Amino acid sequence: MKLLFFTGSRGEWGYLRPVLEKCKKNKINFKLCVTNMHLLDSYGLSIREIEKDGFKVDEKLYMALDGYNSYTMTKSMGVLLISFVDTIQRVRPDWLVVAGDRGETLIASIAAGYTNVPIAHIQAGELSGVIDGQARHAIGKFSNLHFASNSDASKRLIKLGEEKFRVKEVGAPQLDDLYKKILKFTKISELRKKYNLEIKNGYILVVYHPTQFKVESLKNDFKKLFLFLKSVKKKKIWIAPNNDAGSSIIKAEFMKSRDVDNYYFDNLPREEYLTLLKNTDCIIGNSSSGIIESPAFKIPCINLGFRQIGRLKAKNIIDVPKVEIKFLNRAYKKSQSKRFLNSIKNVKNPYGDGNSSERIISFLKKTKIDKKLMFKKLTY
Amino acid sequence: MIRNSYIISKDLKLEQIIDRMYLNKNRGLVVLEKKKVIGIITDGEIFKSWYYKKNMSATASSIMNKSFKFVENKNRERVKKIFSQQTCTFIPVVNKKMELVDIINLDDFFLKKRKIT
Repeated sequence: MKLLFFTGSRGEWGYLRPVLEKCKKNKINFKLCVTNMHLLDSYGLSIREIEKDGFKVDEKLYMALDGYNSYTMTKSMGVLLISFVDTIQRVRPDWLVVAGDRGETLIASIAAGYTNVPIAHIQAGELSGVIDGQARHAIGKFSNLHFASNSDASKRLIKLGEEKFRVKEVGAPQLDDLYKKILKFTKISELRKKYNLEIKNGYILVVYHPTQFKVESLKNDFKKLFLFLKSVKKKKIWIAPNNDAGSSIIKAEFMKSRDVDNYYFDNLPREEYLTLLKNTDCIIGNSSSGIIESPAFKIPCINLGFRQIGRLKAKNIIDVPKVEIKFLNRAYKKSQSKRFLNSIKNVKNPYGDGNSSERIISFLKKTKIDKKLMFKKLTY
Repeated sequence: MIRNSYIISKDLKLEQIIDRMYLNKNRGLVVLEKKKVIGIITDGEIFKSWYYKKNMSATASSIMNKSFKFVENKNRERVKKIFSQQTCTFIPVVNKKMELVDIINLDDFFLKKRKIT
């Protein structure tokens, strides 16, 4: 069995990494194709982290056109489609393994679908806001095996017309790192020293991705968020957004507004990011890390806007659908209240138990690549 | 004292940045946008630009380190700690608004025993 793994962003790498670790351990033949944000210096060049983690990158596909608006983003996906078909021809994998809901993942799935390579989709069937949600379900339509992280997602896949035998409820593999203690967490004191962070009195972690394509509303929301954060007398650690349309606006606005209470990172090694997440007083933003990973650390998460709308959420998550200062104030006050902090001490993470990658590998090994798998019948 | 040879704008091109780096002994530059420090460039960033095949017209804002270390003016005593723990040759000193107040370099600090007040 030869697996081809595909990744274009740091979030998605978190999903795939534990599965790749398992492949290594079980001596499964695999190739790794890395593209988009991983290869961009201005977005933290996370390929270095992949290599530091001990993985060989077999295929590097440059695809991102500068501009980071909706037109360049779409055109970039066209570049990927042309390139990835050649990767498939070179590698000739038995399975393409993808994760999540990003545009580049959809493109990889289209290329594999049309070249008769079976696709296994991790984190399938969930809901997410904006165009990502549409991309996730479109990937699902091309996929031959769906790895759902919870029952809500697996039920949705079946409702969407997928045959039952294709849907496997396995949990979210990025939690394997946390529950199985595969990653060695960095000590927070080491991070303070390394990055000169003055965070002894606590800090807020901010991960805010662009969701609107209208420049003005994106700017307005960012300004409100920044103004609110300014009123909170704690340091803030910002992780740069991904390179979707509008990301350069967020970055530019941040640089304009930045003061000494704000630290900024294009990217961080996963163990450092998770250390910051584990020790924060609160994570604010619209990242899936807040939804999936923050419950594991039992820390409050303020989820902004509609990027994660409809997703299964643990009790530590406070939704603020509209970015308004009064709503943010209310949510933050709640997140730091004794009552709320007590209530999330034993919060359960609905996204898995730390054994997901093992299940994924086991299903991939067991699943026969035959006509039944390859010819999809949509039940609706 | 802030020497002009340490300061550049975000639009300066890589070719000019390298020229400017020859002019100061810090092997580093501070990138300003309307008085605000938005990044720094050291020989590390120049090396990375070469390694990742950036062309000579790449701008300071595209190669600078945005996660740089800085000290707030009121906490200047931290400079000693940073120099003794980190491998950096200079540190921008900023006010609350992140505007540049001073640049302290390693040589000045340790060799000339500059008084930090």
